[in-house]
This record gives sequence, structure tokens and C-alpha cells, in this order.
Amino acid sequence: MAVATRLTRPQRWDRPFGSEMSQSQLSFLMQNSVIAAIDSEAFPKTIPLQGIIENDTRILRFDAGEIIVREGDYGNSAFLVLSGKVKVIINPPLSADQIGREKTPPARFANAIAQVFKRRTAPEVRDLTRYGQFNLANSEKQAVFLQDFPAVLKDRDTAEIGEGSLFGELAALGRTPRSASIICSEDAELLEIRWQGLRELRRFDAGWRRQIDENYRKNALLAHLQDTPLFANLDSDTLSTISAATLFETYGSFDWSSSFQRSGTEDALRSEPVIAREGEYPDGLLLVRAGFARVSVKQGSGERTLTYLGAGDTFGLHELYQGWRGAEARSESTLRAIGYVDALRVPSYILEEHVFPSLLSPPDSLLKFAQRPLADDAMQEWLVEQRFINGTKGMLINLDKCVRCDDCVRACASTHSGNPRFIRHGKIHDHWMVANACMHCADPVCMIGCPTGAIHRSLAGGSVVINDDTCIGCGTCANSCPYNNIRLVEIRDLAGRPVQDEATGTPIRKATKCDLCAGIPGGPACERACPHGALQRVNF
Amino acid sequence: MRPAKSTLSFGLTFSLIALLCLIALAYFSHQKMLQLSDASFVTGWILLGAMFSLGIFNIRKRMSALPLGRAAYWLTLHVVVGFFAVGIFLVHTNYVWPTGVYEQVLAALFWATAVSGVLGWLYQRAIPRRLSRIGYEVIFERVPAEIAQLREEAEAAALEGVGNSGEPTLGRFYSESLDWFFQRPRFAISHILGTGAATHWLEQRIAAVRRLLGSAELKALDEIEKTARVKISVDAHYAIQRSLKLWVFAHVLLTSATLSLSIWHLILVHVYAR
Amino acid sequence: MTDTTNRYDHDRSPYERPNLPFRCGREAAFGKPCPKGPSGNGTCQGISDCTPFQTRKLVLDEDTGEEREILRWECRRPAWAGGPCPEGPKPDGTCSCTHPPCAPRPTLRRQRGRWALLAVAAVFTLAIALMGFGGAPTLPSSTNPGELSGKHAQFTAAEGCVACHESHSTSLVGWVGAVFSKNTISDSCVSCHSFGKEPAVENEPSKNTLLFAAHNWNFANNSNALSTDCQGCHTEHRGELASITPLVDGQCAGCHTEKFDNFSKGHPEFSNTFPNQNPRTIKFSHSNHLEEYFADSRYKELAPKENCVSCHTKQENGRLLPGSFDTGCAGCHEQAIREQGFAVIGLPELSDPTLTADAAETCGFSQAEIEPAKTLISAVADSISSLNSVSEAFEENDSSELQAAVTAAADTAEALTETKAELEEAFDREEAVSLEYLPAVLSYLLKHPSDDLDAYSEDVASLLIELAQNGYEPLSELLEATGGSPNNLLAGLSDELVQRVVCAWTANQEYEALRDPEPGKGWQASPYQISYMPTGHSDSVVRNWIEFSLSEEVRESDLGNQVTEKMLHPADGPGRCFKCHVAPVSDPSLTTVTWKIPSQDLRPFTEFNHTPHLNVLNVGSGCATCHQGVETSKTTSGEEKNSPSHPKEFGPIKKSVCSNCHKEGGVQQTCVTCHQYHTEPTIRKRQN
Repeated sequence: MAVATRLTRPQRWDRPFGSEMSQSQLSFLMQNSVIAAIDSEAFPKTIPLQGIIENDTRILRFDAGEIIVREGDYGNSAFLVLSGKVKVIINPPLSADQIGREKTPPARFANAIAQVFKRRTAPEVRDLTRYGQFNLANSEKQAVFLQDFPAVLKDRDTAEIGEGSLFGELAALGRTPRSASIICSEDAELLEIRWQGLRELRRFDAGWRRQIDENYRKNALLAHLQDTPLFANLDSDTLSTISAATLFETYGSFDWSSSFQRSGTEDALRSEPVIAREGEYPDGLLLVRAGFARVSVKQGSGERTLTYLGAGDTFGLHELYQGWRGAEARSESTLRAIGYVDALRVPSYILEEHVFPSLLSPPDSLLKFAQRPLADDAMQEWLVEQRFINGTKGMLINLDKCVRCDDCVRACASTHSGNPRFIRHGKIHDHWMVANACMHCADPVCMIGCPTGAIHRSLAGGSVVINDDTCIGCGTCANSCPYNNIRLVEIRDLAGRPVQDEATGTPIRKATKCDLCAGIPGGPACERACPHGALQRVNF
Repeated sequence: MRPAKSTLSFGLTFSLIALLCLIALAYFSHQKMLQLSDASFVTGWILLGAMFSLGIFNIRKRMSALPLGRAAYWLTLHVVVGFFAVGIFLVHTNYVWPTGVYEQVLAALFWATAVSGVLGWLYQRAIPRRLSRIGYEVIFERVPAEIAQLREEAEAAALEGVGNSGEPTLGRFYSESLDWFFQRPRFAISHILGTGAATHWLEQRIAAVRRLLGSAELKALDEIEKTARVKISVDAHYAIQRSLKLWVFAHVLLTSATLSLSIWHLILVHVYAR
Repeated sequence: MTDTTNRYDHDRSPYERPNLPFRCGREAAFGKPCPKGPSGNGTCQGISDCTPFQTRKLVLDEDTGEEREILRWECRRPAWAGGPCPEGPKPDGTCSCTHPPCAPRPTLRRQRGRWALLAVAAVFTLAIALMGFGGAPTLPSSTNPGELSGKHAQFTAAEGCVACHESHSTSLVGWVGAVFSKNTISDSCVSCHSFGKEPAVENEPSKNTLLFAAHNWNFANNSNALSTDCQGCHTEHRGELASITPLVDGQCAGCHTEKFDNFSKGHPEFSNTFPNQNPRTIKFSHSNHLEEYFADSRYKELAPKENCVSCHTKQENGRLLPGSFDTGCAGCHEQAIREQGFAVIGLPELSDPTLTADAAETCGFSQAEIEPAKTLISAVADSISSLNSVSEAFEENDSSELQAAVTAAADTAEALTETKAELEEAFDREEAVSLEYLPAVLSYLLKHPSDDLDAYSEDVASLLIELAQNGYEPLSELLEATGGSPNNLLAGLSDELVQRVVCAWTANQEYEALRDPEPGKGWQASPYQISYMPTGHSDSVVRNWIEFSLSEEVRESDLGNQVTEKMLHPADGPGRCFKCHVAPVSDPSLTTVTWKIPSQDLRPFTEFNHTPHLNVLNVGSGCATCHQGVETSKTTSGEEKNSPSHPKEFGPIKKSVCSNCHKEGGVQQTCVTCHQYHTEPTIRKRQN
């Protein structure tokens, strides 16, 4: 039996969010009005409030003019203003130059060459010395300043956020990009709360929950409306009117993945909550903010899925338009929430007043999808059923072309020091296989439970990556993933010996999954390596 | 689903270019001959270059980390250059079979490699359809584990049947007919050719024993049959995937032999005939 | 796994690692593989299913209130391998699910890599092992690209490859160096082969690659000509029976500027003197012979039976030449040759015919004179004795004796009468017969015109006397003085004959030849001359005289020219040689006669073989297919025909004659059918 290496099993708060918080800082924070208002008794002993504050938050200082968050960035934390003021830039947004968007870490050719020559005969080898050094707080925070910010701010619609207010929780909790850029207008001291902490706070404190939800709705609404092409050429006053009139609705559960896993795909349709029913009067235009919704019509004794809607899609526009023109308005199809849906409902009178008159061409009916032969439905039906529609980089293998040569697996291994990050098996429909490779979902449920934030959205473009150094191997993400695309592996040291926990002797595990070959030029190696063009990374 | 970026147009364009080059080279070789000179050196080096560039495909596959271009394009290039190499070979040898043992061996190796390449290419285009129609997908390296599992299940079912009924029929049937079947993948040739011998064999055996069994055993027999049918799917995958891997084995082996002998030929020709 | 619901679960299905080189031995035998898999070096890691770990639990003992530590060993077999085993680890912490180690097998991919390397190694090993050092191997060779052609295989078998490939025998360094230098195979070729005209310079063959009497020799200075070496056209190592010259017409067109598709389409027309551009050497009128002479009933038996090929039997340089005179012409013409002689020494009219006194010493009397005198003496002696006997008888008065004596006297008188007659006859010789002129030869030798009696008499007389005294030596001297060679010109002449004849002349008596000059008998004498009758065709004495007469010295003088004229006369010349042979009278600089049809190769790069063509056409009459006569005996007079400048009696052969058969769909018409590249290829002696 190979001699094993011993290592202490990592724990959740091994890595505090910031550098070690001093006691004085901690007591200062605990006395802050907002935090003090939290009932610490409501928190369990394993996750005390103090612990959360100590480990899941950090104090940041910003100078006037410094950019705190950038619109479009993926962020994992919310901010509580301790002192000073910040301004939210609403309209028009800052340009990319002004924002000083960080370039994505370049895909280095040198990385690729290094990978070619790295040959390990033991699987999952790690350099253990790395694990002691890495510290989030040590990462250089580059301060980005907005040039001439008073002038910039002057021409823009802005909102001010003062002491005691919370911002940024939208992106942190919703796993969506930042909706607006936020600049520090006066020298400020902020408490950055990473979303794991925010999650606990929201979970155990009612006040925070209410506040967060309210903020969520208010800000989300406005931002989403601004982004909708339908309202693109409306002025801000009209938009405000619209936003005031718009209702915010949520269907399904945030945590849909677990229920999906439990129930499987059988008869999923029946269990999906209905948003709008075929034949009923449409209350208003539905804008899907997040999540997926199924559009179906009755066909014989069953329901036929015509299409699915994702973020940004609308439902009911055609029917309402016809209604405005004089015909009777009835929903032509049923809308159901797949998993969960954040939707906005814009009342019909708003549309009739502001939108329809300026429409150049009448919107298409979704019934156009009904013309498709019944047999052709099967693929889409299956994708929806399996919830593959969530994936932005699903690995689709054409089994009629695949010769099972495993070149893709080997290519994947070659970019990861000899460790493949997917398996060439998965659910099959007809001659298509969706392999067990991370699909980098639009709604990554794997991130929900991570205690350390090791699994996160990369700043660059939305691929979901696991930081190997901070992963503690709890397996939450692997269990959460509805598609079984994350796997835990037992790591070994450089000599090939298995690494074990010092205390218990259990193997140290890390979560692994496809990372779209980040850092390697050329994109995912699997796609490039298939000699028959059978493998594609597909945005469903 | 939207189809993958097709290599067809790339392949056709490149084929056209290759064909034109080949015709030009054949013409050049002919002209040289008419001028009492010899184009063999030129065509020989081009042939060697073509063969090495064919061989480089193997290297590219090992270096997928580097952005060297999609393997699908490489394969198209490989096939086109392969045909081109056959043409150049004919021009280089002046369309006759060579004299001399070692040159005949070289020519035989070359043809074997080329023919194996063409046959393999056609095979690889045709056979995945069969694989996906089997209806059960299995990774090649997992076949032994799956078969072991199936074997255990079948044995367990047989034992259960024997235990439930007290009759040794199922046990005997298992040891006479199915034991051999569950040992390892069987009916390989039939699976490759698609003749269905395995299913036929199973059905015959099952039918033969069915009438001897009582109700208590029939459930076990159905269980066994189900297991055996799954195994047939596994066998089919194993047989076909193995044939593909063996083909690559043969093709690479022939390639390395051909290339080495070509180097030898290169040395000899430069020493003696330049 | 008939239950496929959780086949793909993350804890049931670990990563597949097709990049690892070994797989579990149990798996290779289609058993259940161990969860760990072999190590990278190929050792089994799966002896035990898991590595048990020890948990510590602090338990509060209700009774004592103390905390107790409970240590337990737990199985940690992964879920996809079956999850924790039911038995659990042994008390000492080792796994209870152990198996004997397997022998990990290399994967197919790894085997492939090994076999590929093995193939490379095997190829090179075999190649080097079978290189064939030292002579002809019995094993298959890894260097021989094919058998040599039969001609070359034999003599190179002992030496092996180095016979032509220098680089074969040198060291490894030499071998490598040979890669960078041009080969010297052409030099090896030239070490045995040479090509007429200028042979390649020994020891430096490579400098003379253009000097072979191949085409290139003719245009060595032509910078536009393609540079060639042997290997351009000749390829070896293609098998024993293969042709080493696999040429196609297009390769000739590489240099030849007049390009055409093939012979029948585009080859330039033959010249209008083809094939008869050789100057005539024998005036043979085919039309006369074929139409008149051979048809004549008198000569029917002698006429050739198979027409053309009866006479034309010798194939040389593409021409089918007539055979020898003896086989073809002698039947009819031999006699005429022998009949015509020429006089060397003749007795001309002399102003003073009596030379007796000067020659008497050597000549003496002729036998004819001596004999009758002896007979007379004996007869007189007899008569004397018989007369004496008569007188004796008369004295004795013996009548029988007297009768006998009278009879004897009568006999004696008869004998005396006979003797008298003989003596009369002997002395009743006629005077010598003379020619009216000096024979041309003597005229030339004595430098006197033949009709100038006064001029030549004295010299002739003294010559005759010398001849009578010394035989033909004076004549030899005369000839030598003018550049002739007496050995050649007077071969066969005997002093005796000369003296006999000349003595008669000097006695002014007619020389009576034993017999008349007969044709074909060489030196002969008639009453007035010594002449030479040719012994037959190609008589050497006649030829020598002809050549003598053509010499510069002879022709310088008028008298000499007369000799020449005589010699060369078609009807009167000795042997009538120039009835058929062409005399070079028109060109004074020609001092020799071209007796034989010259064997010249005017077209060295073209080769025509009559034999296969004759066999195709009617033998004998088929010649006319190509050689068409342009005259008949009726159209041209004999005079004209016999003129050396007479244009050819056979018309030129046009290309169309050949391309009747040598064309597409017909007989082969490649360039090499008729043309050759090398001229006169020969084998040189090897310098061993």
C-alpha cells in the first residue's frame, strides 16, 4: 500500500474573506447600527453571527472617484456602507474605457506548451505547497479610478447611497452580472460581505430578508427594463412610469435543482407551475428576467412544447397586439416555469400607450413553431425535460459521427496535467449525447451551496470555475449539479502518494469540472481535438 | 441542433488544389523524362514530405493543448494528402511495380498503409451509425466491469431460480450455455458485420429451455434474458470499438514501418544514384 | 448494470483516464477491475479495496460523566466501487477485502507505441543486416533495387556492386560523402564501353562525357544541347530480361528541334538521293542485264536464278551489296578478262634490224641451228664410212657387200638430203616480225614517242641487246627509274623467256612461240611482243600496272598519259577492267582506283536491315517494292549507262514507301527502330 501524505482537512473558515480581522475591528463592526440590529440568537451555533462577520466579511476603503463595482462584472459579494457616500450610475452607463475593465487573464501560449510537456502518470497530482500560501486578501486589489468623475457624474442620472445602506446584493444572490456601476463619491469605508455570509444573514434574519428582497425587486426591475429592446427608444420618464406600473413575479423555487434531482424527469410538465394558461386572457406582457419557461400548446391528449423562453424573452406580445388592433386577445399557448422564473409583467395599457404605436412590424406569434412536424419536437422536448436548456456550453456529441476514439478526453487531460475533466458518457437522445461535462449554466445552481466560494463565476465572461486552492472538497457542488457534471477526486502529492487528512486518515478531495480550458489559447480543447467534428460546445 | 462547422468545403477546395498539384507534378516528371533527365529525386522528396506530413497528424493529436487548428480539418488534410501521396507514389515509381526485394517491400508497405487508410476512413464514416443504433452506450474501458456486473446478475438470477424452484434446470442451463457467453465479449465478427448472430443464438437457447421451466423459474429466466440482451449490446460496442482501435493500431504500425523503410530508401538512393 | 438510473452519477462514475498506459490485469481478463487501477509504472495497486481510516469520537459516558474516546476503523471504498464493504476493516486497521495482485496489462495504445518503435527498429536492423556485404548474397538484399540485366549481371557477379558503384566499397565516411557528391556511374560504363571515333581518354573518362561517338560528339560545342550521361537513357536494375534502354520517341524530341508525332506523321521526307548517294564504283547496268542479257537464251544457264538476291548477298552498313565477282559475274565475264592482255616489250621497226653480232655472244645459235649441224656431221660421218665401205667393197668385188654398200650410200644420201632439208629449214628462218610502232610502255620508259623511228631505234636496239644479255633486268631498272616497282609489275616474268624472245629478235629472226598467247596464262611471248595476259579477275599484275599508270610521275608526261589511257581503256585495257570498274580519269589527283564497293557508313546513326524486309516481300522480286528502276535498256544507251557520271538507275526511296507499313496500326515506327544513338559501340579491353 502506498504511503500516504498527511494533511489537515481544510475547513470552511480556514480562509477568511479578508486578512485576519482584528478584535478591535470586529467589535467595531458588531457595534454598527445595522449589524447590531441583527438578532444574533437566531443564528446556529455552528454558524454564529460573529463568525460570519469575522470570516465572511472584510472592510474596504475607497477614495473618492474610485470605482467600486463595474456594470457587467460578475460579483459574489454585497456591500454595506459604513461611512461615506457612493453613487450608482443609472443612465447613461459608463463606457468600457472609463470603467477600466480589467482584461481577462490572457490565454497564454506558454501555458499550452507547458501542458504539452507535463506528463504525470499518477492522477490528480497537486503541488501541496501552494495550499498554504494563497490568501484572498493578499491578492492585489487594483484601484481603478474614474477620471474626472465629478464631470462624469454631473451628466448622468445617478442615485446616492449613504451610510447604512446595502448595495450589490442583487448580483451576489442572483448569480447575475452587476446591473450598474457604483463609484465612491466621498471617501468611504465599506463592509464587503461575500454572498455565503449574505446568504446566512438573509436566511436567519427576517429584516435583512425583507430588505434584500425589496431592493432586489426595485433595482432589478429598472435595470431589466432598461435592457429590454422593446423599450429601448423610450425616454427615462416613460421608463420610470413603466417601471412603476410593472409587477415583479417569481415562479418556481430558487433551489429547483434539488427538486429536479429528486423527482427526475418523469412527468415534469405536470409539476411545473403555470404562469399563463392557453385560452385565458393575458394580463400583460411577460418579460422573463431569469430562469426558463416552457411554452406549450394542447395537442391531442398531451401538451406539445413549442419552445422555451430564457432571460430577455417575452410572452404574449402577439396576443396583446392583436387585441389592440381589435381582435379578441387570448393566450395562444401555456407558459410554465421550468425550475424557476423571475418574470416582469407589464400591463397592457402601458404597451398600448407607449409601445404599440411606434412598433414598425407586428410581432410574430409563437404558434409559428407549431408548424414543425410532431416528430421533430422530440429533441427539444428532451432538452427541456432534462433541463439542458440551462447550459451555455453544453457538450453535445453526435453519436453518428463519434468513433469513440477518446481523443476529446485525452485532449482535455492534456490541458489539465493529465487529468480529464469530463466523461464521455451522458444522456442520449436519438443519436445525440449530452456528455457529462460542465455546461456553464446560465443559472449555475452548483454555486449555491459552496461554503468557501471556491466555485465561482469567472470575472471574464461567465464560465463557472473552481478555485482548487480554496476548495475544501465538501461535495456540495457535486451534489447540487443536476447533471452530475462535477466530480470529486482524491488528490495526490507530487510523488504520487495519496494525500490524507492528518487527523482522520480520510483522503483529501477536491471538486473538479470542465473549466473551458481557461488560460489555454484556442478555446476548449475537446472541441478542437475531435477528428470527425462530432463534439461541439453548444449554447442551448 | 445546428450542425458543426463543416469541413466539406475545406476538403473539396484542398482536394482540387492537391489534384492540380499532382497533375502538374506528373507533367513535370514526364517532361523531365523526355529531356533524358530524372524527376525521381524531386518526386521522391515530395513524396517523403507528404508522408511525414501525414505522420504529423499523430503528433498533433498528442498536442491538443496547443492551438494548432481543429482536428477535423487536420483529418480532412490527412485524407486529401493521403490520396495525393498515392498519386505521387505512382508518378515516382513511373506507374510500374518495382524490381528488387527491398523496393518491393517498400511498395507493398506503402500500398498497405494507403489501402488501410482509405478503408479505415470509410469504415469510420459508416460504423458510428451502427454504434448509435445499438441503443446502449458503453465506454470501451468499462466493458469488463460491465460484463462482470452482468455476469454476477445473471448468475444471481440463475441461483435464485434454482433456489426458488428447487430444480437444477436453470443452473444446468447456465453452466452449459450461458457461462461461456458471460465470460467475455462474444460474437465479435457478427457484431462488426451486423449479422445478428448473437441475438439469434440467445433467442434459440432461451426458447429451448423455456418449455422446461416452471412458473417460479420463468421470472428468473426473463431476468437472465434481459441481462443477456444488455450484454449483447455491450458486446457489440466492444467488438466494433475494438475493431476501430485495432485498425488504428495496424495503420500506425504500417506507417512507422513504411516511413522507416522510406528513410532507408532515401539514404540508399542518395548514396548510389544521385 | 441493467439499472441505468444512476450510471452517470458523479459518485458512481469516476473519470476515465485513457491517457494512462496500464490497465488492471483483472480487467484484462474480463473480471471486475479494482478501484485503484495500476500505477503509472505498471504495478498493481489494488490488493486491498480501500485504505481504512480511523475515526475518533468523543462520547460522554452517562455513568461516569467522562468523555471517552472511541476509535473505530471505517471502510472508505468509494461509492462507485460498491461503497463501504459490509465486513469493514480488520481490527488492526487493514482492509478485509484483499485480492492477490494482478498483473497490469499495457493498454492497446501503449502496445501500439511499443510495436511502432519495434517496427522502426526491426526495419533498420534488417536493412543493415541484409545490406549484402561481400559479393553476391543468397539472402534477399536490402540494397539491391532489382536484378541487373543479363548482359551486365554475369561479369559483375564476382565483384558485386562496386563494379559500377564506387561508393559501395568505401568506408562509412565514404558512404556518407557519397550522398553529397554526384555519382560516377557513367564513368563505370565508359570503363568498358567505347564508341568508335575518339575513344574516351583512359583514366579520365569523366572529362569525356561528351566525347563519346554518340550524338554529342558531333556537337560537343553546342551549348544548347542537353548535357547527357549514360543514365539518361539507360536504366539498369530492372530485371534480367528487361531492356536497359526503354526509350520513348518523346525523348529524342528533347534535343531534335523538328518535333513530330511519329514516323508516318511528320518525320521529314528522305533526301532525293536517298539511299544512293554513294559515288559509283562499278558500272553495272541493271536494266541491260535484267532485260537483255539475262533474258538472252544463250546466257540463260548462267543468269542468276533468284533475281536480285542471287547477286546481292552481302549486307553491310545497311546496304545489301553484291557479293564477289567470282560468285556473281565470273560466269559471263571471266573469259573476256583473260583474253585482253597488254604488251610490255615489243619489237618495233628498227632502222637497223641486224643486231646479231652484238647479241651473238649471249644468244648463240639457237638450238634449232645446232641440231641439224650435228645431224649433218653424223650423216657426213656416216656417208664417209659408207663411201669408204663402197670403195672397200668395190675392191674386194664382193657384190653383196657392194650392194650393201650401195644401199648404205643410198641411205646416207637420203639422210644427207634430210639433213640438208633441215639445215635449209634452219637457216631458212624468216626475218623477225616487228610492230610498226613502239609499244606505249616502252615508249614511255625510253621517253620516245612511239612513232618516231629515228628517235627510238638506237635506244631500243641497245635495250634489246641488254635484254638479250641480262634478261629483264634492264627493264626493271627502267621501271624503277620511273617509280615503278619491278617486283609488282614484272612478277612472274622469267629471264629465259625474255632472252629467248629477244635473242630471236636480235638475230632478226622471227621468234616462234611455242604456242600462241593463251588467255589467262600470264607472261607470254608472241613473235613480236612479250605481253601479259591476265590470269583472271583481280589479277594483281594488271592492277599494279594500272596503279603504276595512275601515278603522278607517269601522268606528268604525255607519253605516260598514253600509257594511262591504254591501261584505263574499257575495251583495250588489260583485263578490260574499266568496262565495269570506274576509272578515275576525270580527276587527275586520284591516283588509285576504287576497286571495291566501299564499305562506308554514310549514315552512322541510321540502321537498316534488309533481311527482315526481304523475308516479308517476295524474295528476289520484292526488291523493286522500294528500289524502283527509273530507266530501261530502251531509254538509255549503253554508252550513257557506262558513263561513270551516269545518274543512278534507281530512283530515290521516298518516305511513303516505308510508311506504308511503318505507321499507326502497322509495324512499329519508334525512332529507335531505324535510328541509333551511339555509333560503332565497342567493348574496350579491361585493364586488369
